[in-house]
Amino acid sequence: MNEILKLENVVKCYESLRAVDGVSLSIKEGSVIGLIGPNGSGKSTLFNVISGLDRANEGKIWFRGIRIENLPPHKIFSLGLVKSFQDPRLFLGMTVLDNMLVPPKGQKGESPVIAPLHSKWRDQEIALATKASELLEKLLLKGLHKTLSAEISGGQMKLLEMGRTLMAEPRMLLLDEPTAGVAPKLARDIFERLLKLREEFNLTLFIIEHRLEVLFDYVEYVYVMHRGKILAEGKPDDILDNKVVAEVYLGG
Amino acid sequence: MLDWIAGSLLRSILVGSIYTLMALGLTLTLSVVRLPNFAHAELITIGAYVAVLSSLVSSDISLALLLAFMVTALVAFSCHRLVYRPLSNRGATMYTLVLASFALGLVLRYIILLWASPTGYLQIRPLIPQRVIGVIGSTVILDIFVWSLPTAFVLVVLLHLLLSRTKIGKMMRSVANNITLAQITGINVGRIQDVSWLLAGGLAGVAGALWAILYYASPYVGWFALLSVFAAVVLGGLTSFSGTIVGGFIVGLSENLVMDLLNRSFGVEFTYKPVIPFALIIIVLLVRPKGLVGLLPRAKLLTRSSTKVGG
Amino acid sequence: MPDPLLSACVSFLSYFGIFAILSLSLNLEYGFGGQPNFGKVAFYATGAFVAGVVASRLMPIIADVTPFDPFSPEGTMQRISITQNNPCAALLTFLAALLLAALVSGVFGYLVSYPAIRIREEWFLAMVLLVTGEILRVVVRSYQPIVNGYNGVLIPNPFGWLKDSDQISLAYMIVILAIAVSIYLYINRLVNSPFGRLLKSMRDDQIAAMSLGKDLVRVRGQVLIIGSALAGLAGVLYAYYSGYVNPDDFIPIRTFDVWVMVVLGGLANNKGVLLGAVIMTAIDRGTQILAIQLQTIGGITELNYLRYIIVGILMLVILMFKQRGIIPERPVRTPAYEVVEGE
Repeated sequence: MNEILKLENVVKCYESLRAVDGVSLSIKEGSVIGLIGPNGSGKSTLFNVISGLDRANEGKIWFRGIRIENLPPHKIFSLGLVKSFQDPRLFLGMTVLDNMLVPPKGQKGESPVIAPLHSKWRDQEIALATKASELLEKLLLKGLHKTLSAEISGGQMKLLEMGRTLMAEPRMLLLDEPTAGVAPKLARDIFERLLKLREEFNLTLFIIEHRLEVLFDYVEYVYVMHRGKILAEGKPDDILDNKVVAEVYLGG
Repeated sequence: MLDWIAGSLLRSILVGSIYTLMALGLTLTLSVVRLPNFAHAELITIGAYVAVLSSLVSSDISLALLLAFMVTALVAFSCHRLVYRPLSNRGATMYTLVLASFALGLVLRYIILLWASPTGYLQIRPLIPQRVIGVIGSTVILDIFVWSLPTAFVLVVLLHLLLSRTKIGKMMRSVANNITLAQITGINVGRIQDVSWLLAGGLAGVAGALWAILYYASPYVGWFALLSVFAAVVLGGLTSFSGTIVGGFIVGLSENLVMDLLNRSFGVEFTYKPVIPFALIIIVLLVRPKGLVGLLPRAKLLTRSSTKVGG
Repeated sequence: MPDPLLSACVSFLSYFGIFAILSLSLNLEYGFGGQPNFGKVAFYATGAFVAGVVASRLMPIIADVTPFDPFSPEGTMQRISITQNNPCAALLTFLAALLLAALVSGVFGYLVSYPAIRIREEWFLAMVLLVTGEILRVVVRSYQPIVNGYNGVLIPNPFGWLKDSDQISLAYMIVILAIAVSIYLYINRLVNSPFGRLLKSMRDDQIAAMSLGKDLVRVRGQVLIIGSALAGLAGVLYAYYSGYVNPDDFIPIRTFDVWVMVVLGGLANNKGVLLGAVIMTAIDRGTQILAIQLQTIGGITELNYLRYIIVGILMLVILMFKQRGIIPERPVRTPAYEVVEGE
């Protein structure tokens, strides 16, 4: 298996605080990797830096062999690296269907020159709509396509967020607490769905999660962050046995 | 030859100090209330006219300044309570608030115009006799010069002390830094906002009064100054207290010293003066959008995480 | 004998057409794209100034006569006589003004916003555009060669060769409305497309849009170019309608008028902003007529101030009670909905 994401000594500072302090890691294509750590350890910041929303102060990042640490978010996205948000950041002024149709890349109709000429992008639009329709069905959101995304329930919003991310045809997903705020049964459900989608679309998943009991059942490898550094890494069982980690979680 | 430089420099510092006062009010609302207040210009104008009206009663400058502070603070506070806060409570987006401030500014300006036009106050100087203290080159030094700089200085220092030493100042800084955190720690954000508006208004009012005494009062006084004020704020990095102070003086210098230079050396006419602050803004945005933040050695008192460049 | 009702209607519809174009352009920028353009008047003015320049300098060239100094009485007379005797030259000049204005305004819009486009906070852009409007006015006012400074320049109506003043106004009104309708259709096609979705995504959540791969800096530039070009067109139409180009016409309140139309009528709803345009035209024309009637009682200027105050308060009221306007927004209408609903 190829390496899909590699970080070398990434540092991100905010004023005097080193939120990410020399993080190095390597992730193989197709794997499911977890990222855990107490609050404030820098996990979300790390994801922000990888996805381009923030710029690293030091360090190198490779995605599919390409250096990305200086690229703007939209370029990183077009390479196939997509980050989803902890709280769903939906486009609240748009319907569920419109939300789904925003991410796909290379839409001809997105150029203002071509947009008024409906015949030029009609076919592409229909193809995308078909795909969106199938996904919506899988996510049990089919009947809501005309509803404003602001008006659906919290759980449905999370599903829509996921659907939207998938419409982007990502190669790798950075998931920031995908099960935050949902009931435990739904949490497992979400993970099951994630894994199925991963198989179907050959995704690599890098997941920040606090629900360790759920996460550890699904991931192959875990990185533990503490105060901006990688404290420990290994298979879930090894991490569970790791005394330092336990201390950090219970003591810190 | 060089004596025009001295006069020009003096005017630069004078005008710079007034711009600083005007700009600090804007910085205050920007950082604590997170509102770019487009009606700030009108607060300045109100201060100017209060000075004029006060001068009808007494030619005491300190009275004029005090009244200007109080009246304008009250107006700013009313704007907040009558318009901005109700809108906020109804879930207004930031742009709604900005639009509202724009609308409010226009309403205030035209009310002033409506009042000033028939009463003949369209362009009027306060009846505060100015004694000539001296002459440098072609610049005549009046009383007001002696008032303006120390007043500005005192107010800036008081503001600084307020923000750094007092309890309320510390609360204002926490709200500016992180509003959710401030709320969690039990700070009454509403009260802090009230105080900020009072201060912002007061500062703008005093600045307007000084301006009126120095030049004249008109319904457009604040509006014309807004460009320069905005330039000062942008230079200073939007939410930086010390940055704004430096920014105010840089704008003052550019508009006077540099303009005089351009006029004498290249024959550029004074009608083009407004282009200078505009050019400053464009240059800052192109070269260093964060402004002077980071270049100044002193601690910034009111900063939040700075403007992030997108794309 | 000019029929007062007819001329009132023609005047109303002409203004409506111009306001409609302006409000559609702002709706595109702000209602759909979330970019608060507080400097609409700058591009409106640019269009008018271009019309002034084209009419005063280009017209003699098109008519193949030796030009006088465009700002002298001879120059003015020459323009009038060309319009009255040479329909081709008159109309060609008008066309040239339209095309050139759209181009110049569009480019100007891009240039001015360029420094602020990369800044995430959109009201930076708003402020820059606001002050641009004023600076433009100050510069054009002082720099004679453009439209003769604060004196302004006279440009005759492109239908001057019709001789009958009723016919002239009617013909010109038809042109304004034709252009307005075309722009309405164009904008509708433009926003009911992936581009429209893109604009809304930028408006609703910049960060999410960026993480989903959208190059927002480019989109902002695009929408501002289009919006500015359209405003420029409106400026030309206004310049020829009033027959006179004067920098002092283009004060900040004009920008505000457009905002009222858009916010009142309905953000991101083109039919809504047309409604807003109708209402504003009514207020505008209404107060003008009232002012003329009341000329004996108080000056016209005071009535204008009152009108602006009322419009300002109207805006505050709308914002307080119906933030997004009278008519609500609709989903982006693309074939996608047919597909999903068809299954």
